[in-house]
Amino acid sequence: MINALLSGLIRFATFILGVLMTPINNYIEQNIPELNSAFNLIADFFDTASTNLGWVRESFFITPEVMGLIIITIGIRLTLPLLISGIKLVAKWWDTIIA
Amino acid sequence: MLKYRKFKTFTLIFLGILFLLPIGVFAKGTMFIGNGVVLNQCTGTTCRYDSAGTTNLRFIGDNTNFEVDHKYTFKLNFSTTTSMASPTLTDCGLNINGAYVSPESRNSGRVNYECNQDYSRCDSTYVSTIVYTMPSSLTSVPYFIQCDMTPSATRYTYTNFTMSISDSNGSVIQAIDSNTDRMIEVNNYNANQNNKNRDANSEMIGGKIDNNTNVIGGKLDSHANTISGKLQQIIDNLTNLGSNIISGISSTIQSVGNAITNKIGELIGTQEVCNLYYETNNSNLLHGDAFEEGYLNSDGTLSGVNRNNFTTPFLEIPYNSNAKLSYRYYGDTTYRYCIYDNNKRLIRCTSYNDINNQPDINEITLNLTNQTSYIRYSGRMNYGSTYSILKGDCQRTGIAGLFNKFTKFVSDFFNINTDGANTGFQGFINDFTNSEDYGGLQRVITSPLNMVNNMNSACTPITLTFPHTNNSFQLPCIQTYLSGFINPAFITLIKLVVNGFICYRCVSQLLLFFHDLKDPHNDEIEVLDL
Repeated sequence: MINALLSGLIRFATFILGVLMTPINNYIEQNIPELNSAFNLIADFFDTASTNLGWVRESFFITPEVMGLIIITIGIRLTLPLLISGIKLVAKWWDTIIA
Repeated sequence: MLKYRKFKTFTLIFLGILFLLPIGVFAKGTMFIGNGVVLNQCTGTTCRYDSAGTTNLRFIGDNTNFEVDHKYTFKLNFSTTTSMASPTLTDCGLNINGAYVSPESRNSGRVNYECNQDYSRCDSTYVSTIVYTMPSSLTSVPYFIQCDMTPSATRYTYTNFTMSISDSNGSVIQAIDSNTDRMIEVNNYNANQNNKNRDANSEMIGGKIDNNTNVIGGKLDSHANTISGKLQQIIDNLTNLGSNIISGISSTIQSVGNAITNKIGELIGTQEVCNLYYETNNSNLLHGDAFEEGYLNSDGTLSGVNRNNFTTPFLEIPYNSNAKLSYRYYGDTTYRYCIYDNNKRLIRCTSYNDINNQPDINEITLNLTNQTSYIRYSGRMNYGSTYSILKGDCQRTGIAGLFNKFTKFVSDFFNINTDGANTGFQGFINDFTNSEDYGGLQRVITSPLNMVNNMNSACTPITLTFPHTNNSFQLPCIQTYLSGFINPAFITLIKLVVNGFICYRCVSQLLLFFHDLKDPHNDEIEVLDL
């Protein structure tokens, strides 16, 4: 189920990137190569981690299910405060308009 | 009350395990005894004897109801598989109740001796027949056959081990084979202790009979004569049953203890793997027709390796810190030309210029205690300015082995070749500015998602190749590495504990997080309040 969810997420991200971000990406590649190199460096880090994820996971005796739980926990703790803050911001803006 | 009972039960189980564990660890088998010399390191019917000399083998028998003044024939079959040197079995005699009794006739000797083509394996069979007329003073007695064996410094495999007792008519009244535990004595101490116990019991029983005899008189004697045979048989059967049960339990505990001992030894790195080789400045040293080497397989067969033509390294041998290296030095019993360096684990033989004391090495034997291999060299060592060194490039297993490997890796790593470092470094920088090979912004988003998608990926060993050098370092998968000396069930237990703890932390953190969301004064929420 997690795999299906992630696969769908990647397809969606690829679609969004393909439609919206390809022109931006092309512009950065052609005109700001230093920034492009920085992006590549970050992406390489994740690619390397992706290649050796099984080794790291096994070294800490962690099962894939528990690793998914860790990622979900981190994701919730990172994204939920941002979401709540956004809602509050919209609410405050709405209050201002109503007032 | 219930809690106390549970506590008491667990405490008893725990104490029981604590009590049994050391017994299992230290209950190592010693199967054959000699006269002050213990033949140890026995596995099944394989024992080894680490130094040459004469020793006694004892074959323990049952208490048998011998009839007074009857003649009995004791016949011993004793087969071995040996290397070049073969033991001899002589002077077999009968020890009755602790005293040696001269036989009326004795016939001992080797009846079979066959070797293979390269003489790396020889099978020998010995038969010793002893005839006794039981003295009138003894009826039911403990006995054992005692033989002198002259072994050399090598390993023997006892392939057959039988003893039979026949009466004067030639009928076999008792036969004991190699599978009978009663033939195997534990050690001299136990034997002596048994003698003491037996003497004490005899005195006690004797006293009681004397007292009863005064009261009952001849009546007791008549009953005793009637039931002695059946009663003795029942007692013998019960004794044998108890002995078999105890020996079975002991064997189980012993095997478990040996396994634990071996695993602990592997874990802390007491075992070593050595590549043994000769270092010499004269290729003719220790080469020749007399040179030989071989190893004993786990199944007891002997194999020859690279006879007359050894390479470097020619043989890998399990090697532990208790290994003994012995050597014979022809014409010089003081061994002053050979020094065994225990720290460097090598035997160093130097030459001597005096022609009268020519260092002619007759034999060098590496005895590996508790291992299944040995090496023996016979050869002639030149004198003069030549030298020959038997070296062992040993690596420890387990934690100590890992440390040794790490030390070697560091040592190798700093011995690097930096040629081409400039070019490689420039390429390293240029690669990251090549926009054709990298996706830039898109990869920043898709790479973390791909990483998450690889959560189920199996472990593959990580090989780190350091830039600008030819050195690489491989990190094996932890479970593959640990499975070499830790039971997989124990790894499962570790995973259960670790994952349980992580799950608990994740869930408790999420609960706390959602609980704090309801708190309007929560700092985390207020900070993000734009």
